[in-house]
Amino acid sequence: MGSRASMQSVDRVRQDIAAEAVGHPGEPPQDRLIAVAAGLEVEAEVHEGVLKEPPVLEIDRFNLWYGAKQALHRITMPIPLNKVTALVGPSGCGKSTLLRSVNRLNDLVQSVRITGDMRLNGDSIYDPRMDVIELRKRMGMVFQKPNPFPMSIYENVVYSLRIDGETSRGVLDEVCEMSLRGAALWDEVKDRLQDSALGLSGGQQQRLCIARAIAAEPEVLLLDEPCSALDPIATGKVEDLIQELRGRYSVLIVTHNMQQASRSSDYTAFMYLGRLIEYGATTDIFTKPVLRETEAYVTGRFG
Amino acid sequence: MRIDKHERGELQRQLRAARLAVVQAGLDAGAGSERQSEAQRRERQLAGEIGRREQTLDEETAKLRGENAGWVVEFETASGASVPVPLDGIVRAWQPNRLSLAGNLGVYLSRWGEFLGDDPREANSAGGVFPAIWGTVTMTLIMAIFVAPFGVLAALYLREYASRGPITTAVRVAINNLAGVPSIVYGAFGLGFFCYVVGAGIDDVFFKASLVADGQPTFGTGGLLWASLTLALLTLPVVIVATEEALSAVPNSMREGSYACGAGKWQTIRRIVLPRALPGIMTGLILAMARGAGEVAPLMLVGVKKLAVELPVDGTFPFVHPEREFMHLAYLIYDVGFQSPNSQAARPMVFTITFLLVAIIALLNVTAIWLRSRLRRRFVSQHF
Repeated sequence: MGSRASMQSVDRVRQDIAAEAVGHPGEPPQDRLIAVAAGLEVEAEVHEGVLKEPPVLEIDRFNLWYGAKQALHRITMPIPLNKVTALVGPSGCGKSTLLRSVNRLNDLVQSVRITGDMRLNGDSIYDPRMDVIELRKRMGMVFQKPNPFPMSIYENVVYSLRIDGETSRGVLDEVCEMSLRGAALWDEVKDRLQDSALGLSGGQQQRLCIARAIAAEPEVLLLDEPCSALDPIATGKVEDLIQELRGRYSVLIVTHNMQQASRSSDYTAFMYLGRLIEYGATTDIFTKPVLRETEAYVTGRFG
Repeated sequence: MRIDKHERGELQRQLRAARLAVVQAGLDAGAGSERQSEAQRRERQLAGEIGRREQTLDEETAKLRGENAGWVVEFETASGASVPVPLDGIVRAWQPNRLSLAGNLGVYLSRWGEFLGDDPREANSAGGVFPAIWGTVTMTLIMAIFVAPFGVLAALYLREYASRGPITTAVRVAINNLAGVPSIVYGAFGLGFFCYVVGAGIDDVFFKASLVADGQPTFGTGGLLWASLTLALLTLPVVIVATEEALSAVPNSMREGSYACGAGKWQTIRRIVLPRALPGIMTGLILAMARGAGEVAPLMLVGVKKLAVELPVDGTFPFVHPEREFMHLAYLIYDVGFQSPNSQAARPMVFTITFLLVAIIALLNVTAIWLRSRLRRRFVSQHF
């Protein structure tokens, strides 16, 4: 009984705080994060500069539910072509969910339901007629933990070509070398391409996964916290690699590391509890954000 | 002996084939038809011929027996008494006290050779157990051939394709219950289903003549094939459970990595999941084989016999006879040890057969462990 009463009172207090934070109707909200936590609609602050870039991927009023719980709320953001875009935000804010929605990996989770759409170079990703397999071939993805397949280094890199039925040795060799050079791994492994990929170090494995992701010439490269399982030296190598990929590939990267976002991305989106809060050029987000919540987060005062 | 087993057997076979031809002709063309009378004429001719041949064989055997009886070895015991032993009662002779180490070893090895490579004698209490070894190994292999694809496919479906729901849960519960069903129940099922339903059906269609001629079913009774299938059913839950465990041990990150590369579901399973799960699947399969190899109760119902010297593979057309009954080591232990008229004399046989069976099963299990560690080194990362 007592706990229920206290729950109600907590709810009331929260509503009061939210009302105070949001302020009076017609005025800008006082504290968006509290308003978001209270479940109120908050408009995202998207900078002008982002909208001027030609987009490779457009996320359009995208909602996602895990069962009854809504994980993403009306995300609308364009991802610029051939630029590095970083998604930042505290744990559980839906960054990875958003990333996995881009190549429809969330289809594998049974309880997921979505509304809204995404468009890759104009093609609707969630169109029922869209072939998911073909769609995923147009994107590369790198995961949090390195996940090389239990086969040789060579076979790992050319995996996406193999499943397409490519058997020409010449083509495979060329793609393998190009991708490994692209992932800055060629010099380290060129003499042992037929060795098991599981014998590589963690950092090498992650760069191998990047080589695998770029082997099929993807239109977008999705990186899901690619450095979180790596030591600083390996992290540095992967970051250098992202710098090299910049301009050739459109990269969408999820990261917890503010320095990494500020160093290696062109644009940064700040998310909180499934909502996009602010999105703009990285220099603006880190030096002169529009919202003080963003400033508080990127400077480490909260989250 | 050789005359008895081979030449007489061959004659009997020819006679039976001729008889079957008569019945077959009767079945095909109707009783009293030209074809049947033709076949009957041929049978009568053959029967006469064979009767004559048998007579000569009988004479030959009688002559040999008479010759044998003429030979007697007289031994003088240490106390001076003389003991006559007919020559045909002696299987092997050696003088233990005069043997060198190498000679001793030679006798020892030749006894092992006899044990492993010869047919049994004296109601299984002496001689070798080769047909039983052959039967055990062949039955286990056939069982593995059947149980591996079924078990792996069933586990793949349950783990990778079926959506989680009450039906999948019910199937899982049923599989786990099957693992606990007493094996004799499988034997009864095998007899009722494989022998009396499937086997009788096959007989009806393909081997009617034999059924009509002397009421002898071909597939409609216990045999190597039916025994293997029964054991395959018995070990199926073991394989399914082991394979499911192995599949669920494959990290999801690998599946996702494959999907993200644009692989389809089957491509992911074939190229990533199955190789990675292979050590576990192999282990489950070999453990199932070890369990199947030592099983007796169901086999007594579906085709294991006390004595079946004719192997299911031999020189007579069509060379492979999966319908034949066979011998089995585990059953042989029971038979020699507890059903033998002279169980005192058979005691060494029982111990040796038991040792052999345990050794075979231990060998299978060691192979499983070795295979698992070897494959694991190849497919499972050492990092993290």
